[in-house]
Amino acid sequence: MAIIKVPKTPASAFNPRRTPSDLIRQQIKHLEWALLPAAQRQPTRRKDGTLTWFKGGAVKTEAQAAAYIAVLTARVQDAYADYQARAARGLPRDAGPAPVVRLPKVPTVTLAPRPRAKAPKAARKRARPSGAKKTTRKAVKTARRRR
Amino acid sequence: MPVGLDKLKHIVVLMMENRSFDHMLGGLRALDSRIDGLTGTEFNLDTNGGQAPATPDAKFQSQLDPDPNHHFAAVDVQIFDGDLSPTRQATMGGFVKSYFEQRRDVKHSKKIMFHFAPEKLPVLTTLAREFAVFNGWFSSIPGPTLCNRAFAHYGSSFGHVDMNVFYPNTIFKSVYQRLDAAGKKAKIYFFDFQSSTMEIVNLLQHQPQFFGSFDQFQRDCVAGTLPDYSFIEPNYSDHNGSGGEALLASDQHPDHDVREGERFIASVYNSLQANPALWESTALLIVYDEHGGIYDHVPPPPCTPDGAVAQPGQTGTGKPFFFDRLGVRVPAILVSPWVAKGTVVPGPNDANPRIFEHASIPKTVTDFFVDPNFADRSPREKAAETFTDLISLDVMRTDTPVFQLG
Repeated sequence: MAIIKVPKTPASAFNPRRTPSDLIRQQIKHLEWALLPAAQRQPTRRKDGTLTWFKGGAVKTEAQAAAYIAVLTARVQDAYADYQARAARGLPRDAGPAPVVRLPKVPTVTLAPRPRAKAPKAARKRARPSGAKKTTRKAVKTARRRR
Repeated sequence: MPVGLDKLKHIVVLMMENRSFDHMLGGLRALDSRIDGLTGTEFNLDTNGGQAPATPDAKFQSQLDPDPNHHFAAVDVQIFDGDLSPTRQATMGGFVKSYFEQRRDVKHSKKIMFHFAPEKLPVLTTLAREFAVFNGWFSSIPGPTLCNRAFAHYGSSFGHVDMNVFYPNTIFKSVYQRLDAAGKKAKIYFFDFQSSTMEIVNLLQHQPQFFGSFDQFQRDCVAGTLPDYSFIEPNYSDHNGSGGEALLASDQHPDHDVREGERFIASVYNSLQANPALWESTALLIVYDEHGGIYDHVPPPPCTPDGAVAQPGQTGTGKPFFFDRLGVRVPAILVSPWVAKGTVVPGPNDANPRIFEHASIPKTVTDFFVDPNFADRSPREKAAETFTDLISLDVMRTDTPVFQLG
């Protein structure tokens, strides 16, 4: 029996700031579509060609897309629970005019600050030419005092 | 009936994202000449007329950015090299030209030809060599994700070749609804609420009982309560989990790190293998939805038309599409301890070829769990190949590999 070791993916691969792919935007569109009653799914478009009811354009990062998708998924499931509750009370699902559905707001996602990239070794060397004094905080303070 | 097939109680399908056969498994030809991968002589011409060879230089991340175009019109260019004449031949010669259009950078456009050396993908290549790898599994449509995934759920995309909502008034039932009606159990396990389900929101809307999370999949594996049929969706985005932990996308869609997808495949395999009763009664199919615009050398073959026509406005090529040709080839591997080690399912370049596509999934699942004579299916599904015959051993293997996740 062969044992195959599968290494951990480096933490540097994690990029929640990545711009969402077309696929993720389409997923948002499908979830929004599912939440809206038919009357609100009119294929009217903005000047840039996007559908007027589609909010996915406001999503800027994958993390934000994920947060919005979670809200939409929960809302779709809640809508089904409402339908079940109505059915249990003997109420028809579509009694009366369809209520206007407001899509949830695209959530704001605060991401941890991006870790500063370490300068390449060669660059660091150049920053401190040979013979130059060390630029420690202490050395800087001493230099200021002298001035 | 072989003992293995007699024991089969569960079929699990894991569908990954946007990688071609040659990109992931093409390097295996050097290790096993029966695998229809790359010989090292394949190339496309770049926009300057220079050769762009298929070389093992693929990187896990940050190489295919921007995401290669894989909408219908772009895939048409990739397959036919821009030839729109009635007598055109599929040459697989337009991948570099198609990718060039996105960044107008000749050097960058050649990266679409790169593939992974087998040792860089220890999980996928091990499974391919240990179990059954398909030389001829093609995406259902030369187009993007959602219409292709529709074939895995419904056996049809109902005339769509794009990413639009396809499910109003679907005329064929999804495989989940068919199993449900037959008293069987089926579930779609999406990764988590932030990743959710990709294409069958109509089922989420009206039949949420079909859905569960990947955590639940793992719990069901431990408890031995896996349904008859499971469809697993990977994590589609980099996001933080409920405890603030970093959850990397595992779908392998460019520009997500391919290594996390490897780990996800291994975790699905491990979950099944860890429960001996489940392991001996389960077949796991790992397949990719489409090629994502990345090079493959095998021209997609013609197929049974699906009875629909996509109009020129939908295809973007100026021509209609009659659903009479498959999309680009994708990696597909069938895993079971009852599959003979080193099985290579012949494809279009082999003797006795067998052509599979995503409609093979509902076809196989419906035939096996519901009724082989189930009539209410698309023409494509009716004509599709099934794969349960590959579960052919009478003695269960005990030499299957184990993945140790770091």
